[in-house]
Amino acid sequence: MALDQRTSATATRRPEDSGRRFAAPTVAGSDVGSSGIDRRPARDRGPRGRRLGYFALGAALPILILVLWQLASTLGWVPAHRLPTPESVVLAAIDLGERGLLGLYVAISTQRVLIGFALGAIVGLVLGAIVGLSKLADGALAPTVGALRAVPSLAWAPLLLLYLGFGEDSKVALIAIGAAFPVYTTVAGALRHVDRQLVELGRAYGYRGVSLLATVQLPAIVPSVVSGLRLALAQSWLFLVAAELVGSTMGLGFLLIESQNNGRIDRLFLAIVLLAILGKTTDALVGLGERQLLKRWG
Amino acid sequence: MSFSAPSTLATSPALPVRLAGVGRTFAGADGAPDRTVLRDVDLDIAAGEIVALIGASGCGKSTLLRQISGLDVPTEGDVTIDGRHVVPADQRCAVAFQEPRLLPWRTLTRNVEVGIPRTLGREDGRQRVAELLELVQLSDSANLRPRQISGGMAQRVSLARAFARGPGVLLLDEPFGALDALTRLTMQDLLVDIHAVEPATIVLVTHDVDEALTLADRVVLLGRDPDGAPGASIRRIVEVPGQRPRDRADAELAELRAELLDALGVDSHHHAH
Ligand SMILES: Nc1ncnc2c1ncn2[C@@H]1O[C@H](COP(=O)(O)OP(=O)(O)O)[C@@H](O)[C@H]1O
Ligand SMILES: [Mg+2]
Repeated sequence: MALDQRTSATATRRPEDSGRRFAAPTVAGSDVGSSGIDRRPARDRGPRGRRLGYFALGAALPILILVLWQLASTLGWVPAHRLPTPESVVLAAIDLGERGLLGLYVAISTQRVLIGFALGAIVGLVLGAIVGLSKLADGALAPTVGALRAVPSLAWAPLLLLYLGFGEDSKVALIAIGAAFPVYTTVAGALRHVDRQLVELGRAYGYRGVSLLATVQLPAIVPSVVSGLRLALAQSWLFLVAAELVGSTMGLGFLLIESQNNGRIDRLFLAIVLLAILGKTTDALVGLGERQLLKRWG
Repeated sequence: MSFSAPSTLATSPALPVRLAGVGRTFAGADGAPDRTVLRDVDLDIAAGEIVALIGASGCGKSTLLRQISGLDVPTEGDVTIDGRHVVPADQRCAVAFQEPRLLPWRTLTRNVEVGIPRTLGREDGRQRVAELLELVQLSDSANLRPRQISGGMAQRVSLARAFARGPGVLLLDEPFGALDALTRLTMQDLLVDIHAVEPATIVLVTHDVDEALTLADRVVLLGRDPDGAPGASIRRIVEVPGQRPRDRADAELAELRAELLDALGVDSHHHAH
């Protein structure tokens, strides 16, 4: 939830920025010079070597952790039933892989996340657009949605199990709930703060309703929507684990709870590492898409 | 660099504008008192006429333009274009706002496209955009984004966008304000050229008395009555003699210039813009 708040804060800051951008020309007295500005951060243009440098910098900490882990487990700093060796985690992965469970768990968890995320994002977009565009809808819906958002994720799980059963539906629904809120918050906030002058410009040139939305409002909020989607994806993994912990027979959350029950600490670690890798990978994919989008709309 | 009539284009004919007893009072927010910005504005503008609107900053010039374009509704009186009431965001008008208001995610070309009438074919539209960018001397920058250009360039894009409409009424709010002196003169000449080929009715807000006298058929001075009711009204209307293009050094104009500057409360000997 703290994350949600941060996005809405970014969303509110944005129009001021663009306001400043539009105010500038009226003050600038001169037509020439002064502001042939390119505000892209230097990193985008930087040499390849620098990017590699950043990558190495980011990889340093995980490598250090791996080394410490290795030392701590093999030198007996931490007893084996509390900390498995990295090797045993790899072996656990191979073992599960040979039984066909590893691929299955990863696949089913990823599938749940992607479907739940997609559904949630659509619901969040539509709801956010309605609340962001209509004062009436804002007054009528925003307080209720806000209250629903305040409900902790796990609280939904028993109810969804009761209503939708132990199958896929309840899990996908829970993830969709988790994904919908960040998208809703960012979209509604960003739409409310689209530069009024640009909206008026659109009206002056004959755009109304859907065409105004498509020409001015939606393009203006693309950057916020993307960051909302990114948050939603992170939330989706969070809610996936919640869903699979409560009632499932497959998936990474199931692997966590089952390993805990069997005292298989190696598998527990495996599940955590896999969640980290999958979460980071999907986030990086969205980040790649974000870069492309911002190049066009930013 | 002269403007040739785009044969492909059916620009709308110039339309007469009539303001009758127009007043605008803004409701005070949160208990603040109401604020009368305009009152009793009566003005008849003939089809194809160019009217320059001058007045102190904050006196309601932009607000008056908004009444004509239908982006705002007067609290008193009526505005008609061609005898019919103005409707919200009236499409018989094209506006170049005081700020450039370019869509930051679009190239300059795509920004000018916003002004192209939806009835124009795709190919004709593209051609007109290219032609207009050429006229405002921005062909080389056609594929840049607004954040990559200067304030003066942005203002010329906004101007091109308004021209693109080929409207019956063209409303220009300080269109040359951010331009350097040379570009400003060039753009003034361009306006005269375009008006000769596609004669729209033009209402032009400016702070520059010389600009008003070079371009307009009539100069309308907006201002408050020092000890009258609140709100600005028309203080004076000056008919500018002679046909366009006018000689900027004309002696008769110099006289009018001194008179207008005097009315604006500027000492003409120390006037520097
Ligand atoms: N929407 C509005 N609400 C309240 N006051 C406004 C609004 N629009 C303009 N005003 C007021 O009207 C006055 C005239 O503004 P404006 O027409 O922009 O002046 P000008 O263009 O002559 O510089 C200003 O004092 C401004 O504060
Ligand atoms: Mg103004």
